[in-house]
Amino acid sequence: MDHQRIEDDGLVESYVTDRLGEAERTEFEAHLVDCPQCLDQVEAAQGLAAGLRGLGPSAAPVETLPTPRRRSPGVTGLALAASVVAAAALGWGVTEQRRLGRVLEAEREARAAAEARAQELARRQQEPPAAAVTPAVRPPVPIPVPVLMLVATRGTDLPTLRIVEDSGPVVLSVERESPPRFSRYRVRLSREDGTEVFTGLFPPSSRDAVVLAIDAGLIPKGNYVLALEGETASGRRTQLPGHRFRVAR
Amino acid sequence: MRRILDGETAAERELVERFSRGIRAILRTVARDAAVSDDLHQETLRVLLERLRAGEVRAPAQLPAFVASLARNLATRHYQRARKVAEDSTLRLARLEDQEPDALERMSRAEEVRLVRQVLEELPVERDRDLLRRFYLGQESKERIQADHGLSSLQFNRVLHRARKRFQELWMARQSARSRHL
Repeated sequence: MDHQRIEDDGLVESYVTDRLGEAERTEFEAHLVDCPQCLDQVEAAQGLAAGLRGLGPSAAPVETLPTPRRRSPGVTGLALAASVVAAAALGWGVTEQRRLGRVLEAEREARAAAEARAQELARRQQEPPAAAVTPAVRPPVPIPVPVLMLVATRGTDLPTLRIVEDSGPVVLSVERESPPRFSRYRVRLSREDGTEVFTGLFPPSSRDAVVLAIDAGLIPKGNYVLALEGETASGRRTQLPGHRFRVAR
Repeated sequence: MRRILDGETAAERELVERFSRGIRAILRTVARDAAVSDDLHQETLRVLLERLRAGEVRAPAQLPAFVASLARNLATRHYQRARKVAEDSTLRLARLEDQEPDALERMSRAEEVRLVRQVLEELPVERDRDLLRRFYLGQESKERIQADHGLSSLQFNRVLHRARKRFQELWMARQSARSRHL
């Protein structure tokens, strides 16, 4: 069983939502049990399914037609859903925690670069310039941290990052090319008028995204452009489609 | 497999490491209770080693399929037995499986659900949100959802796959940002 077929046939999604026939399910499980890449996908999908079921009726579409489930003929749907949510959500949490450790490392680097840049900008604004800048003590970081996911879409709406606090981290998660080709990315964030805000070199945070953590103080209200350049392991660079977004406060 | 037949414990450990995660993923689709899933996981590994030591699987290429079917069969058998016990004792299976979780477990569930809702709302593309909600809730047929969005089967699979990956990335970004400051 090859991964192109798994993606084209939506086998991960169908498996997790119990939509595969027995033969297909058996074939998929024989592959899954020994494939870390598919296990990543299945575990994430199991967590999503569990979480969505846990949301209850508010997550459901307005019009739904209940369809008979293949399993559990004698089991009440709601009671079963609740127990499935419990098992899968907890399992996913543990798995995700491990995966997040890897993402976190990449993000720390991004964060350090952002902070260095913020301090540099602060120094430039100081008069007289000779005075040393003491890094300010940060106020407690608000939770949740604002996150904006930037994906390639043809939509006309400008994605908006809403920031409540004046400082503290915000996260930009930029979707990578598929399949992944680059080992690192040159990122340049600028205002719409071309003023550079931030630039840096980042490794991918995962197979699917480059995650940047920057300080909210760097990006006041306005429109921004995030330009990306992919760099292969051999050093070859390719300009990638940029992303426009809006910051609202 | 040869090393296992020779009684090499390091080989058994490698086998467990290789298949443990996959067995868990399969059991999670069958077992509705975390404790039952844990028990079945241990049981699957125990029986697997027993069978391999007995030389029941000879071709290494057949090993993954053997492991997968063993996990599913043990889980299915467990629930068949549980159902039988439930019927015999006039208890409902659903009640057996729906015991009250402890306080910590309830909090973990509530937190996970809250985060899923939050991340879902942050997905930038409305179509992604709609597809994920409808498909993963499992109440509608795939054909109906894809018809509503004007997608072919192949397009639907790809769009759904991408939507779930976006959700996953956003979830991870959110989690990593939170865990750094906790």
